[in-house]
Amino acid sequence: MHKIITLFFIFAFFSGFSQDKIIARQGQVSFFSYTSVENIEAVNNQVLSIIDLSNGEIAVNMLMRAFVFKKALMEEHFNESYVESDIYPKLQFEGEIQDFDTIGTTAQAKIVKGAMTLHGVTKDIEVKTTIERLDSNYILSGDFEVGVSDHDINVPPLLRPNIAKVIKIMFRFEYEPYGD
Amino acid sequence: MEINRYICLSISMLCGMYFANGQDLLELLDKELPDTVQYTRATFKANRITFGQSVETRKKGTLELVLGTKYWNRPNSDRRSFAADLFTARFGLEYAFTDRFTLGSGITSFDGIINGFAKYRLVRQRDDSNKAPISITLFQSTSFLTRSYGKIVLPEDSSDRFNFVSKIIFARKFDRNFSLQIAPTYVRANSRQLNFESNDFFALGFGARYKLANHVSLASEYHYVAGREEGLQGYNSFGLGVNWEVSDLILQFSLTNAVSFDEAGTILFGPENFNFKDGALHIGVSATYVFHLKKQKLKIKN
Repeated sequence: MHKIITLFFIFAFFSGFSQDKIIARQGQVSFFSYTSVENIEAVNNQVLSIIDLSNGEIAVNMLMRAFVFKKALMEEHFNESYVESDIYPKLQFEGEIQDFDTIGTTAQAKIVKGAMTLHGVTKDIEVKTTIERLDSNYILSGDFEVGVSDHDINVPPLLRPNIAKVIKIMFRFEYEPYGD
Repeated sequence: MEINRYICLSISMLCGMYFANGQDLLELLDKELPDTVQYTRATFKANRITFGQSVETRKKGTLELVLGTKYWNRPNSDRRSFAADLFTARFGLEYAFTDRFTLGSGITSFDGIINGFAKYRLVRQRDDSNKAPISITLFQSTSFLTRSYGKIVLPEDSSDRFNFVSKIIFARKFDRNFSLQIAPTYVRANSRQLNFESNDFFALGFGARYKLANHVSLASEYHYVAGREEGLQGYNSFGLGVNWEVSDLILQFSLTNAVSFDEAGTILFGPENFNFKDGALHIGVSATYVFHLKKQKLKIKN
């Protein structure tokens, strides 16, 4: 009887703790706005992302105010006047990696489908990503584009030449097993 | 009995684990969000509210180039000038050596006052905790009279031409739109202008900002000077303005009774009360251009 209970415990232990989630705590997201007037770029090195390997579900969460700009004034304007990070502090993404292959070790190109919430507006997006695997660590990287007006981010007419209508967003997440 | 207890325990453990697994991924990430210090941004938009100093200091390596102008009419004048009878301009440079420490200086055309100031941000208000509910900035300025203007007479002795202003500025950004500051001020005027009975004055400065839109805000300030009779000994200064931000440029439009741009000049030597009559109402237009002499380096991996 005791053996059965021990076995049961071992089973419970493994089913619970054989962690099938991986997390990136210092993911990087950067964005670029290219116009003939000025180029704006910013980077956020504190992006969080988690993947459930059992079903390919992925989530991304970041604080908008963690973006660093070359010019301090741009950072102030970005937070105060454009993304309004005091009202909408986070960018969140929740989605699923299509046909995610957790076994292969070669780099694979996959589509991530999901919903991104930015500036209080949720949009469905599809992002092409490259997945690399090193033992239990994964790296996801890629880029995609976001329309400024799609997320109700208001650019005054006078400044329209300075800010691109479509912003290029690049990301790189390095995952490790979750729960350590 | 013993066995039953084990079974109960293991079942409850299993349930707990499945429950944990079923947790929303975003909720898991919310728990992982870093606890970084978040200083309140943009209590005021520039080093100046309208004519007086704000609690703000700029980020390290920022140079502010300030061109301030004021236009007003002579009282009881028969001249019909095209726009305004009189005009004054101040050219100033303000540089942030660190995030907390700023030095600035400037020179004005009409009153010929040369001034310099130092500002140190002692406490920065924080958004993420209640440890610092207000910002505190220390301010010291020195100004030097170079000519007589209005009722102000240039002292013979050059050491009498100096004026000193010390301030402790307390400010709080109450919400995203509204900021308020109170600044106990000590003014030392080496010369006795406007029939002053003393060289030392205490004043209290009030300043406020209300954000009207993402790039436009309303700003106002008032200085109350104790220990003098308002009237022949000068009037307390009041200013009401609109700040408009266009990228690296800040435009400030204001209505004020202060002629000078210098602190001692605005606080102590106000010749007229605030009203809309000729001679009292000054229309101010200031442009502040922000240069970033030190840019942050971004490390982008891909």
